[in-house]
Amino acid sequence: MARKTALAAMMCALAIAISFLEGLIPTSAFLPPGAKLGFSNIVTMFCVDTLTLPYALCVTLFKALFALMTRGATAGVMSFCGGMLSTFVTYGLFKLKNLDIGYIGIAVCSAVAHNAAQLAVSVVISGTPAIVIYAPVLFASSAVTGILTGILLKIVMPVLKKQNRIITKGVENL
Amino acid sequence: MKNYFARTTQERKLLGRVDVLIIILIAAICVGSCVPLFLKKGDVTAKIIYDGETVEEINLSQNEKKFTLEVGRCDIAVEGHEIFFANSPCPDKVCMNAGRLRKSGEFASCVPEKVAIILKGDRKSPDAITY
Repeated sequence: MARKTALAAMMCALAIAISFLEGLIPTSAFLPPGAKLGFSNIVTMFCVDTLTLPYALCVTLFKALFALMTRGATAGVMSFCGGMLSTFVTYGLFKLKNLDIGYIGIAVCSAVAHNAAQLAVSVVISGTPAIVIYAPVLFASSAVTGILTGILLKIVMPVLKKQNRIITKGVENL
Repeated sequence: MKNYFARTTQERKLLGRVDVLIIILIAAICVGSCVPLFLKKGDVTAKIIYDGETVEEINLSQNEKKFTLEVGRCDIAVEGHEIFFANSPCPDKVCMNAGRLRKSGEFASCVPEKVAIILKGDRKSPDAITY
């Protein structure tokens, strides 16, 4: 349990570091304004898959707190709602058996859920239902970034799982 | 509670049939909802919405002037056929990064300041009229 918590803490740090670093990448050329690459979603999806739901929710919460501290209240609330919904969607999809869904599909659904929740929050905050007009653009970008994060998740999964085994069981038990 | 702590790990492939379906569905929704907006011909009107209410409507196609509007705490600039967020006190500046808007269907919004600009094509001038 303690080791798992330690691993979850590491994942929180990783998610925060990734979301900070991806903020440094200029995306205005190929992504619509407001859309992000969402690489830290890789960490959340990994947590849902191997560390179970409560830990993943913790990581999401810390990510939202980080957004709240660095980018203000609006970004914090949007990160929280988007993160929570996408984590639950990811969990549901990982849990579903007998469904021919791969990492790409899960990542795309998770990104769409994230954006849908954020759009809903921004409608509520701004009191302007008309901004739903932005939904198709956001969903298109989440499909693209979802495919990207899905591929990356497939690549890093074996590495992260190995690290996970070392941390949760100890090197001697490998 | 036990159920939540159960592992979900299983061998999983990168791309399944459902994934392809999801992507095609999203693509179809996006194309289907965007095309009518961008295809609209005629005059382009910019609607400025503050706190859910339209405060200003500007016909961009007819406009030749340069001016700045103060909406809430944001400055919106109009330069000829273009409209954009010139300044905003919000922290992430998503509204300003949206750049200059000129085509029908384009959109920019500053969520923390409750200001949105939506560009719409005029329905009054159809592409063709047949008798």
